[in-house]
Amino acid sequence: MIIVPVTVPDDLIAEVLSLLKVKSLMRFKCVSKSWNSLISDPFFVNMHLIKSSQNIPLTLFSSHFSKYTLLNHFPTLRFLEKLSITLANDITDNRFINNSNLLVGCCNGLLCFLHVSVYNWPQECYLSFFNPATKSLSKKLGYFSLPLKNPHSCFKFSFGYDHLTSKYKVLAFRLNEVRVFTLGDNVWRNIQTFPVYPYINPRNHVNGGVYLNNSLNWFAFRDMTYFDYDWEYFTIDKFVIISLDLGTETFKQLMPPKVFDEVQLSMPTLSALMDCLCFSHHSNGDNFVIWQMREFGVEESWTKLLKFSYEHLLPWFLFFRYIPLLPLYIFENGDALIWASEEGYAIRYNKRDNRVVDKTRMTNNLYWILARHYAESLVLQGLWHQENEEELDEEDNVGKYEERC
Amino acid sequence: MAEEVSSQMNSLSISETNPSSSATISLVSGDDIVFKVEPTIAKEMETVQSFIDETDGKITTIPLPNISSHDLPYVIEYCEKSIAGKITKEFEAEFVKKLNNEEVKELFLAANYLNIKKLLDFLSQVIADRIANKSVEYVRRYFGIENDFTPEEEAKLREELAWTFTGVDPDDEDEN
Repeated sequence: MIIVPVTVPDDLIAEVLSLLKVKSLMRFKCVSKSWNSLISDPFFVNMHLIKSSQNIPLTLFSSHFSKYTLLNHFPTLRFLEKLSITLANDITDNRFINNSNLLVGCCNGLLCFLHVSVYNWPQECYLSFFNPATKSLSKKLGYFSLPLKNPHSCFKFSFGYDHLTSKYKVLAFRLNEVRVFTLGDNVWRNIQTFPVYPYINPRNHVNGGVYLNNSLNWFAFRDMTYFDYDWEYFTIDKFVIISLDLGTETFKQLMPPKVFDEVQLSMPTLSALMDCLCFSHHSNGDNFVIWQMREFGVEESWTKLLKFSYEHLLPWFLFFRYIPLLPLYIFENGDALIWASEEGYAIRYNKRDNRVVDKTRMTNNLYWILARHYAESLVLQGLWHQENEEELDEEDNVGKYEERC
Repeated sequence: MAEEVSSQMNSLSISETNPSSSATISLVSGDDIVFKVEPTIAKEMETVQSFIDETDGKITTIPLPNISSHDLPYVIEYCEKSIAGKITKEFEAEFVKKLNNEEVKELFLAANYLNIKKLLDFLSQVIADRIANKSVEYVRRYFGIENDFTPEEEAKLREELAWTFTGVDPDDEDEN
């Protein structure tokens, strides 16, 4: 019999550790020097991220106020178990106070915020990156000013990870200008412009851009910038999906499903479900439809994923037709969770009966306007410390970008 | 090392005299106990199967010097259940309940040596669950890791990561 304690080799230790939650891993940095370097190692960070992403994601909620943002996350599966959910604690911390922060996006467990100064004119903006699991917050990056005199100068922001260069990128898009900010290089660059107009509505956060297949995808319009979705002025042929490949930084335009032929009271939504781009919209006769682009970038591959009637819900949802519905998750058995953003409800669709069976209400008296998939990760765990040191000598010139308008 | 093993195997295969037993595979543990298993079990163990394949099935006795006769029956039991498609949460819970920490680690190494993916993944998760919410000291003892930080270095790191030290499970009295 073996008497000496069994020694587990390093590669197997990494295998075990990749299954742990971030909080435990951060604590286990204190185990030894080799564990400390393993847990910080980019190869291990990626290995952990892959494992973490295989689980059903958490749903990240955000709520914006004039001076602060509330954030929280919740296990998506638990929406199926409960009729009401209270999100108790905010996961941001006091480093966020006194800024107007907008959540631009969430990718690999890393959150990107756009901060807009409320008091200065023209408005000063900058970005910051926050990993809620490691509590790492970057310094303020990519300063630029945002003139609001001309509404057409408003940018649409979006955030994703480029596998080609292994860098995080923020995209700002408006008519005749597209800018890319690369985390690490920390400067804005201009790239080829899109021949379309962004959809900008400060109150509508549902269509913030969808990250999928190393690309960012948004709704845009062929003729003009719209600030509000007014169905009376729209025609279907004005809609287009703009898709930017983060690796090549080239774009293409994708048409919505051909069957989508009538403008509805509420804006359609884009989402990533089951690793496919999905297009959802209300349809005549109080129906809701989700289309799935089976093969990314191929318009012919739009396939109807589900369609259900919400007619029986109308008594308690009189304005249902006006609410943008955002599919949160589709389970293996075809059941779906759909977020009614402006109402604070997640509705549960049952595939077998092809109907909505129940709803889960967020009980906080807060306006959770945005819901996204979130999986915790070790990405950028040390940024806060490193960046602070850099800040001493680079404070004045990093990422400065002069507004040209 | 590889040559040594293969020459050892050749001598063992030569000593294999009964041709009718070629249907079963003999696994020889590190402490020289022979376990006869069906070829389907051997298939689950990629390392064993590749030995067999390399010799066109002529070798049916496989020495497993890294695996003790205490651990091998567990491995075989898991493989049998796996072939029968009977790996359930209940079976796994029962299977692991019998094992103390040292045994889990031994089996983990055995699964790695034999290259049994399912067992390896399962035991990774078992070990992860056993250390998940434990203290730094517990984890050092669990893996027999020496703390090579200076007291100053460790104190500094612990201070930076103070928020990760809340809600940690108390260490078990009976660790093994």
